[in-house]
Amino acid sequence: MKRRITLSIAITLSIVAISLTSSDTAVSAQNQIRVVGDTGVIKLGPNQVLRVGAVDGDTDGSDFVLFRRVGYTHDACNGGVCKLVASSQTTSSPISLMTGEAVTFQVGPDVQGNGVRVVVLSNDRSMHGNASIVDQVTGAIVTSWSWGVANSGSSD
Amino acid sequence: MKRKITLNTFAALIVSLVFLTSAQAQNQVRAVADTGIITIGPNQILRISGDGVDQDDPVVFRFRRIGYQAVSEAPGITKYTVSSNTITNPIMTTGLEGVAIVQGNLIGTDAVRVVVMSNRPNVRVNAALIDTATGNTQVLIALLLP
Repeated sequence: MKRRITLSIAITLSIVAISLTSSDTAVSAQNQIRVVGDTGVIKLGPNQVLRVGAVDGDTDGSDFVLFRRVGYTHDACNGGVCKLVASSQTTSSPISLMTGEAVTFQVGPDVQGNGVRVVVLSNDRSMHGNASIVDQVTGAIVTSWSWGVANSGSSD
Repeated sequence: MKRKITLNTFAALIVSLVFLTSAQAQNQVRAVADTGIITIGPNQILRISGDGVDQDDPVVFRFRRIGYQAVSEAPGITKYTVSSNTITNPIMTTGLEGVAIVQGNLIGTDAVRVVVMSNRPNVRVNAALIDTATGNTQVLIALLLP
């Protein structure tokens, strides 16, 4: 009888420990900031802007996004291949997105240097969006592509 | 004998439950593509089309159009909130395309987003920006599909 009680207590304690560990892991994973999107290095024209948009994939209202802008300049060129080197880097403050909110980050016009890159960081893996190059004179989108996980998981 | 009947009943219940679950999963309309938030030019329209991989597939599409309005601006950063959210009725396509068109320069809308929903995960979705003056496709948007 005594053995049985000891075994029951041991099992209960194990279950509690496992649930606490997994819940802690889930919380720390949610707070971890990771790269969710990256435009790569882009050379913008004089009247062009790069606009990067982000929307939240879920609706828990606890997620945030940061935009990192990296500027590049030419290093050495050899046989048509040019090496670029990061010359500046700025990161925005965390922008929290509540349910139904979205955010855009714009670079340009008249970007100095030989290339620019925007990296999107977030604590939420379901954060997704797109990047567009826009002609500032006409307002027309010249090119656009998506980043992140397209499926927001919403159903109807 | 009694035990056998109970076992058979139980097995039949499990089979019908599995069948119902898979049928329900096929009828469920889920997001399959998302344009993200974009500001369409005044002379541009966004055209999104979808069809099944196999032309005989009975595929259902719904297009959710979300309008956004700018609420705050900091240098380079604009925050938006949803100003409208509409969803089309289910469009049944068999050998046809389901199409949604969004006009640029909509009054009271600073940006727009279209979420394509379907009952099938393996569908083809195309998004393009078209010049309203010439009718030419200017941009074919590369959409990420799950």
